[in-house]
Amino acid sequence: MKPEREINSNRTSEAKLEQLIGKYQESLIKHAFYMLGSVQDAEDVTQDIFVKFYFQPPVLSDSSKIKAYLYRMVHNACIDLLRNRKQEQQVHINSLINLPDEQLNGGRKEVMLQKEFLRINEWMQQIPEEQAFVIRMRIVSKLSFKEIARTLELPVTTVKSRFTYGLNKLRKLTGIKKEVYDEL
Amino acid sequence: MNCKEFNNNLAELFDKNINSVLAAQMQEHMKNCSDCASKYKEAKAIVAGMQPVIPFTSSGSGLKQKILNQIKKEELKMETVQKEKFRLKTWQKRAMTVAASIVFIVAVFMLSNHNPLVNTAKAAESIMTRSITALESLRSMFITMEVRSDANENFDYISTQSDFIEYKIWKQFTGNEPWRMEKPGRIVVFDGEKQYLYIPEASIAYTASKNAGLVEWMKIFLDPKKIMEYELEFSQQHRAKYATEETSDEIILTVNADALGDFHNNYLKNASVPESDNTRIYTFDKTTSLLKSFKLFVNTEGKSVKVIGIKNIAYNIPILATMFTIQLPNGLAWQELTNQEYVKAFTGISAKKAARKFFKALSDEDYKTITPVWDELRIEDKSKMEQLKSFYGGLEMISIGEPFKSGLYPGEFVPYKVKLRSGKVLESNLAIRNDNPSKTWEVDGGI
Ligand SMILES: [Zn+2]
Repeated sequence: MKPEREINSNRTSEAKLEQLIGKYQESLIKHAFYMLGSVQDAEDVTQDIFVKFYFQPPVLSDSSKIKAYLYRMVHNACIDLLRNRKQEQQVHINSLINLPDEQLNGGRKEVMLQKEFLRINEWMQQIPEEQAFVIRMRIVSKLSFKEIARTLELPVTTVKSRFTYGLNKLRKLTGIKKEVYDEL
Repeated sequence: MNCKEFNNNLAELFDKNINSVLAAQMQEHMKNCSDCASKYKEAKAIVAGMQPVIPFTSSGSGLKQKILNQIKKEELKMETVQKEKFRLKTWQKRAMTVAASIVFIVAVFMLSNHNPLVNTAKAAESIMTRSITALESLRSMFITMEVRSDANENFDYISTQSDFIEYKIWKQFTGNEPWRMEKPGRIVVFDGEKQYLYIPEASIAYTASKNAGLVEWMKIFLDPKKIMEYELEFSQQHRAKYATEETSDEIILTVNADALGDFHNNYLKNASVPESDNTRIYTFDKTTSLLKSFKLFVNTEGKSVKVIGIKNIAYNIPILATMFTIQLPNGLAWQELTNQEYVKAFTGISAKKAARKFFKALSDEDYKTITPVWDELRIEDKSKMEQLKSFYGGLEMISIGEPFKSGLYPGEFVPYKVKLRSGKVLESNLAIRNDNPSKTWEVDGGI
């Protein structure tokens, strides 16, 4: 007698969800990983986002915006997670840099990935966060500037200039480093 | 293109799909400007340096399945929360139903005095009386029983379709008489002052008053003496058929009882145990006269199905005080259950009028009037409520029939036929009741 069907009608269908998972899960986990530095956390974040997507799908005028929406959700969830763990784990991650391989957590593959994360993260820490987000999305997650603009809900011109600013800053920094090295 | 324009467009050379016209212009500029050319070269080197060199693969540990499992879990949780909200709001009503059923037996069956089964019943009565005396001086008890029920359901949910699951009951007969009842998925504890319900899966933790019906009908098992007293009264009303049997160390009493309640209209028959035809088998220890085991069979459609079986009762064993408390996990706190409000509009009128008023309000989309008398409009999930409103709102009343009573349900059933805005026609019986001090009608179900 209760309108169950009607009540559930705003959910994503399971078939649609499975299709989206198949299409985007790996790249979303990768994006989350290069923000968080932990495969486990990245998977957890991505899992939560898909579950949320199932129960509260956004009202999107065209389906091409789904990708940007998913990236935005994952991106924001990662930022929240980073803010919450700033004190405890940031220290932990930084201290990983100097550890020998065998002392890093996880298997060999995970160790390699963590080192990769640390290497790239070192670049990102040299520039303002908003520029780092754009650069990471373009270079690591391989999103086009248009997709990044949709994800961050910014004009494409802003996205491009953040990318250029960030890149110029890094260029100058490496220039300085190079000069310092040259002098030594 | 000048150097400024080149710099403004530098990002273009790093986009996923490069604009070939623009790229050509930039290449052209670089041929003539070594500054910009080296700028691009450096930028390219940095981009290359930031590129992950090892391919990313997640642990591949079946994320899809994990997501689907979590969804199932969330759905179950939501369902349980909804059910509990409805149930817990009606605990008072339910407690009244159980009380009413006992009054009913006494009041109605007192009338039939001359029954040929009186003598057979005498032997049974003497067994019951002895057992009542034996059960009087208990200090504690621990019962393990099997009940055909489901883990997500209330304690008194019993279905012949379900498998057996284990129930456990601890009771201290001294002090404040605390007790604990457990079934897979939920625990109710009475600490002498309050009742506590904890459903870990749904993160539900409710406290309710001393007499709250959180375990509902199953409450009778908290006091085996009461069961025997109830059987004695029942027997004195000459309603059931009895058989007794003795072995070397046991006395077995079988009670065959017809369904209780008003079944002129069979609508509610078999809806709950006291409302079904049933057989109860009690086994007593011959020396102590204490109840050793119990079996309850529900007789339906020519079949007899065992629905409850007490496997063991341990008497006067020590029970740790910690059994009568529930430790909640961090972040979860007890929530108080409160009584419902009533409105004047649904007070002091006939069931038919109340039903008419209820549907009129839905038709007028006047939810204010019916919110206090309809639990469904008091759910917390706003979007769900909106959908409920859009489903029933603006309906058209076709007919409201004559109310009738059925089974032990203390309220009335009002047949109705309505047409929803979607065009769908609904025909059913609205269950409404006013067995509360203010005689206010409340919608229980049927919609
Ligand atoms: Zn130039």
